[in-house]
Amino acid sequence: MAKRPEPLTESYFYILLCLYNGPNHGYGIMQQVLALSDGHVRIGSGTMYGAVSAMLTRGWIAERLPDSQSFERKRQYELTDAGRQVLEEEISRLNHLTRIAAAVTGAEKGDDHEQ
Amino acid sequence: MSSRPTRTVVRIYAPWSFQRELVDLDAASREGWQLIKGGRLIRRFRREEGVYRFALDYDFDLRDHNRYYATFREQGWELVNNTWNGWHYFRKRYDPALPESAYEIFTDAASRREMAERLAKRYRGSMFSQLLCAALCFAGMMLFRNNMTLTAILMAAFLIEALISLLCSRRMRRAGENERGEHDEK
Repeated sequence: MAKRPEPLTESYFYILLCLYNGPNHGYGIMQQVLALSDGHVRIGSGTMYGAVSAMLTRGWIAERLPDSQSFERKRQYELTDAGRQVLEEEISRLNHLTRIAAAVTGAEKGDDHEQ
Repeated sequence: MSSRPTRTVVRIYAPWSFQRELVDLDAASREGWQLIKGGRLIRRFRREEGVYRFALDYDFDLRDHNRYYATFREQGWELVNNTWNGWHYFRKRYDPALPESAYEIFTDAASRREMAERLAKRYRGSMFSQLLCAALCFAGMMLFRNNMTLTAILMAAFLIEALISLLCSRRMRRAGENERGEHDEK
């Protein structure tokens, strides 16, 4: 009865990806997205808040309470098991799309037509 | 209390004209007038050096205030004020080294649409009362159909209400699709 999951928006994908290897705070995620996308993708505060809220509600990410007594008290997020699974499914979906696109358009060098 | 001159401006922006309002606030900032209190009708500005860019978010049912403000603060936005009906005014110091995208709080179509949807949802509530008025007018028309003048007045009121509801919902929807700078002229 599982519905086929909706594709993630680029912002959601990037946020989940940035949390794959460990927790991060909003600004850190934004910076990492900029770096990963060569400065092309910037996640604004409104978009970030909305995406993080939705993902918290769906249980894809969780807030990580800071363990130190620092004044900064930077709010960190971490990927949950559910979130990790969503990301991995999305990555295979995208890989599949890339594969079939290459097959159909003959993107491989020397391929003129489908066999 | 600051001894700098302040200025109060009364100007109505329709709920869907938030992009145009931001363009105007940015322009005022360049001329040395910084918004210190924003509102749908009355705004206060103060003479202050510095160039700021402004952002507006509509979120009437804001849940996690701390996280909300932290998310904005960490990207350099400071809160100007909140209005009673759910609008949040932010400002950020202008830095020519940053690209335009640094001054957008909604950086994809999905979140822009979500903001417009929040606005439309709230507006639909007041549109409901519009439609209720229209329905009452219609009922009145039926009831007083022997009285030409009254019927004519009620019919006019009914048509106006229905037209307003229709226009408002279209405007709301379009507001979610426009990026800054591509606002409707109205």
